[in-house]
Amino acid sequence: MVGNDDVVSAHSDGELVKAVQQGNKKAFEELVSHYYKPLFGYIYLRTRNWHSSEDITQEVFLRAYRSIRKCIQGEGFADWLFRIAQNCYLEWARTRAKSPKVSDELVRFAAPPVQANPTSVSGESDISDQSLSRALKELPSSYWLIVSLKYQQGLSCREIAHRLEMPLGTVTSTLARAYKLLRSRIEKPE
Amino acid sequence: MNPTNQKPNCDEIRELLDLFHEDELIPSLKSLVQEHLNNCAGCNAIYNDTLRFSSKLEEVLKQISPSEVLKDRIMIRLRHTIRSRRLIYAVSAAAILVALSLMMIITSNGSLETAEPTFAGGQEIVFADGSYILLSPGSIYKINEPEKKVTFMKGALLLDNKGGCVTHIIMPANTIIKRGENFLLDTAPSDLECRDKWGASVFGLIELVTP
Repeated sequence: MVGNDDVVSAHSDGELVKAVQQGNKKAFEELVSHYYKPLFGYIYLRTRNWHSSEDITQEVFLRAYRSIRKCIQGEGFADWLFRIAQNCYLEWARTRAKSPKVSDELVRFAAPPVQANPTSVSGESDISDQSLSRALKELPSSYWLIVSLKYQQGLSCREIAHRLEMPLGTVTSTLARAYKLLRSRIEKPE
Repeated sequence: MNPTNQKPNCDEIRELLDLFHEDELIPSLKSLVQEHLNNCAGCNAIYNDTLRFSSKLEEVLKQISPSEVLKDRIMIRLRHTIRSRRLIYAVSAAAILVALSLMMIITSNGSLETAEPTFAGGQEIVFADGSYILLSPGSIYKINEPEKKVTFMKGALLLDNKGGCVTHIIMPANTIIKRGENFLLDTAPSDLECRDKWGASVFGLIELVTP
């Protein structure tokens, strides 16, 4: 219905997963390239710890590689990957809850190398980084993935649709719902 | 929604704003959205708002984007894990093979020294009464009676594959023994008597089939 029919040259997730299952390790590297940013962001929004988020991201990909044969065709690699990420995050949170509390000083050491801007920016004077981050954390992983692919990876809607093997209309409607959800969360802070 | 038949409503237009902004719409739909934005203050405000919101989103998400180094780390750790797993598999496979070999030797012979005998021709089997049969290389001998235990005297050489001397053996009737053949072994006895397992003399139980 929309857009032209240009062929997107990159492999879809389904093709890559199939190649990995047949022993192609390069294909897994491509999957890592596709998802390490969205995955890291998803984890970081929850842990708020840069180094732990890097460790967890690595662990997620290791687990995914080990059990790639369990990823069923058509299920969606990204959904499967984010389920692993959710489990890894929960394990991390449980371990952290059991361990002694770290001091505020150590927490600051684990902060992201790029300092988040606590103040507003021009053009969006009513939205602070923190409130947007909080709202992003509340997004369902399927919404987060598409938002992240668009704004972290810089993919167009068409490229996202191809990669995730979903209709273009689903990508655009998901984005529209994600914006709406984010706005509602920002306007109604906890 | 069919652009040729009906005009899209505001909700439908709002779902197309990202594609409109990315210039991914077909020309007819693009002009339809443009026309709607020109005439609908609500959608126009949302479009401009979405552009600003997108810009803010991009800025915040860039701040929580890891560097390329993370990807390299993941791949290095992955390769290391694959290598480690290969090593573990190789060591495990070797250990399993060794264990299986030991089990086969022990269960079939009861001791390591009497495993899988081969016939050392040119030696003699000496019986209790002093008679003997000379086993010549390449010759074939046959057991006449069923389930007889033939005990070889010391000096008669039926060697297992480790070079150990086999002292007795049970063979079913009509078993043909020949040089190089493997035998089913009982436990190695310490006695030197030449008797079957029922206590009878085994003299005459082995006959020459072919010289």
